[in-house]
Amino acid sequence: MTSNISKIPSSLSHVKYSATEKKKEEIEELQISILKTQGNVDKEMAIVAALSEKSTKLNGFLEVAGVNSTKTLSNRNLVDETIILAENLQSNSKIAFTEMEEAKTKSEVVALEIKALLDKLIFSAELVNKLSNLVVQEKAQNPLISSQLVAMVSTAGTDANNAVALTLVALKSVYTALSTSIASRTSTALQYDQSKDLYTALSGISAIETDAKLVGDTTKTIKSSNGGTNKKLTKSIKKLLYEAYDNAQMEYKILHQTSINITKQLNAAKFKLDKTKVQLTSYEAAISAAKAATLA
Amino acid sequence: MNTYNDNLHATVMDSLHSQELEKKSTQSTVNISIFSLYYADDAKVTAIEKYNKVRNTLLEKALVKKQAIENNTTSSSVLTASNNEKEYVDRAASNAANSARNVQIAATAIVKLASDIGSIFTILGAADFSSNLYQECNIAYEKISETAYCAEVTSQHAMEASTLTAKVTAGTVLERATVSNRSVTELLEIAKTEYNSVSAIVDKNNANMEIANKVAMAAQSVLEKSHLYNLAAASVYKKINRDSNMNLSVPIKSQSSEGFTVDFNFIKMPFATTTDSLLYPVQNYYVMIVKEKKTAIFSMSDAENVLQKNTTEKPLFIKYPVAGKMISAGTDSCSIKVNCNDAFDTDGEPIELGQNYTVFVLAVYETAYKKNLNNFEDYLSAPSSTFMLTDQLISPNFDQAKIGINNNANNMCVIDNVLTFSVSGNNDKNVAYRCMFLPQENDLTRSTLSKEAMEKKINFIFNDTLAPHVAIGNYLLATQIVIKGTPETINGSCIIEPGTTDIFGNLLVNGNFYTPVVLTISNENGQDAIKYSNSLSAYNSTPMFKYES
Repeated sequence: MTSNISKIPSSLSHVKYSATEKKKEEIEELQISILKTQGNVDKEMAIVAALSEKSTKLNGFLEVAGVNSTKTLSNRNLVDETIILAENLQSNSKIAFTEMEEAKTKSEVVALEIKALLDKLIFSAELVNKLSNLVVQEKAQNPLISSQLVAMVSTAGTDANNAVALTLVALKSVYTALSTSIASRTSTALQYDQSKDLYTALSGISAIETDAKLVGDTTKTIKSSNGGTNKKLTKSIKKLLYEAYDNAQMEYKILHQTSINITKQLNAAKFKLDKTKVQLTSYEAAISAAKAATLA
Repeated sequence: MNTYNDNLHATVMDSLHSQELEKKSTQSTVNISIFSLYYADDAKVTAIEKYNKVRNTLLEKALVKKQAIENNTTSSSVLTASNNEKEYVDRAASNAANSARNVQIAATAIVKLASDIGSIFTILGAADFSSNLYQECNIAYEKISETAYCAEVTSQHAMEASTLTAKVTAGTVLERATVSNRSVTELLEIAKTEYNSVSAIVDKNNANMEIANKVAMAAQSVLEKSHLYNLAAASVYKKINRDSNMNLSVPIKSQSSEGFTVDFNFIKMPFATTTDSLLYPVQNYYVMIVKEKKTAIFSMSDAENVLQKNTTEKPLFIKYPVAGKMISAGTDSCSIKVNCNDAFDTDGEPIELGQNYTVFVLAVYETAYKKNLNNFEDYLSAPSSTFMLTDQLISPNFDQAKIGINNNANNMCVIDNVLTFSVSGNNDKNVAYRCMFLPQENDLTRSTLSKEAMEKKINFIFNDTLAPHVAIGNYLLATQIVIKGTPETINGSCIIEPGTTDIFGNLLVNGNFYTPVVLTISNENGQDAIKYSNSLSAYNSTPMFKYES
């Protein structure tokens, strides 16, 4: 700057450039520079402050996003786990239902058989009674008929009565067993239906698909379009939690990149501010030196 | 030296100088206020976006919670059904076992009966073979044997039914249902907790938004106040300048890279020239261009020296002769157009772009007039306000006409996340096009490129002072393709990728509206960059766009 001053043409006729004039010019110039540089420092400080704040905020966001990402992952895992449990439950329910179905069918067979058995038994008992009566009549006419035979026939009569009575008891208990068996089958069917509902609600896979999946048939796909009985299209919790995880991941990624950018900007701004501050300090030093020189 | 005039001159100089400083200082306060407001607005816009975002998150969490509640209800009924199932199956098993036992007992009794009849048949066979009795017994024996067989088979089947019922895995089902219900309940608990915590954050953000709004409003009022002070200072300067400094000015409108205009009123004589015999005493006006840093020490003697110096290739002043002219109302001022090539500054150096200058006016009186007063001093004005000549850069702008002919290639607008524009006039300059995105208040759903898209609302301050201070990273640099021809044009474009931010550094939000704005700024370093004036595209007449990544 002082070099400019020395450039002032000295060949002018009235050389009025005394030392004080020069000093005055120099001080004036320095004052202007200081004003401007101070302005720049203020501006750059504002920028640095704003960027620092932003950076802090962003790091906060990033931390939250990280926590969120972890949380959504654990939620996703939990829903996966829950779905596996529900699927497991559903297949067990199906097994229990099938088993109960089989047991019920068998009970029905037994019920039919015991009825038939009883009919046969009663018929046979009638024959035994008839035989018994015949033996008693023969014995009256022919005393040579062995009394052992008579005793045997008597026993047979008692046994026939006993057998019929016991079979009636058996018939009754078979019917009781059949009725509880039918009730059980109904309850297992209900439970199976509900476990299918639960699985569908959790996973978003329709009942038709679930059944097909259980049978191992992959050719069946949902044809709900013509059926029209499909429930309203709400997202399953699995879909919701998966989406939440994907969103959280994406957000974290973007925030991370942004955080890097902001840090770069902040460093650049700090560097610029430092440079300007140094400039200001040097101007201030220069002006105090110049003023001291003028007063001296 | 005439001390009267000197004193007057010194007083005017002093007043103008202090007023100029006041003007500058209030201007600088205004600038700082603008920046404060800008950052307060940044916080406000960010708070609003944050609130909206968290509100959206809350909606998501509410959906999850709703699902979790429904699932939990389903799961509860599954558990109840499983308990029922277990109970029924257990009872069925017990009944089946009971029935099997009873059938077995009956079968035993039947077999006993069969054996009785067998014995009778044997006895009859031995004693009364072929008697009527024997025949009857034979029939009974046949029937009871078959019945006994049936009894055995039924008993076996009853046993099988009992076994099958006992085998039904209702216990496992209950166990699984219990485990799965526990897991579903856990999901519900998490969903509830998350919903509640986000709900609390929504409340907090709402409060923050209100605070940020208040701060921004406060900053706004500070700016308004400082702007008033600045206007007052400028107005005082203007008045002093008009009354005591010939209204000397270099209008901003006249400034270009080519040159500028100097306006001033002619010196008024203390005693008005009522008769034609008294001619206007000023012979010539001389306009002198002085570097700002030399302004404070530029004196009459310097001006006289400049006048006498004629060794340089160009004059150091611009002469405006008025000798013999009639001065009356309407012709008592002048406007001198100064071309940069016409003259040098008072240091004998060419007029440069990016350099601060002031102008002085030297009035040289007629010799007769001087003799009359016996005062041989001429008149030197105080300096004008500082001015700087720059090369005005040109910014691209949206062309409504192109929409009409449906040709939006290189029109200044965003289509499919690509910002395009076309501009000519900056060809030979090292220029960067900074593409920025101003967030719009997003409660509107309007089709882009429509007329309504022009009527937009931005709820923050933005202007050409702030635009160059938008931080690196908060704008995109356009790719430039030079198209040869007359005039040579530059086609610019930039792709809005995910992670792009608005001017405040907030990520562009899907579904929100933004207005693109392009700042044309010199790419030169430090001192050279000052020579150019930035240019900001007219964002008020540029259509906004809906961001969709």
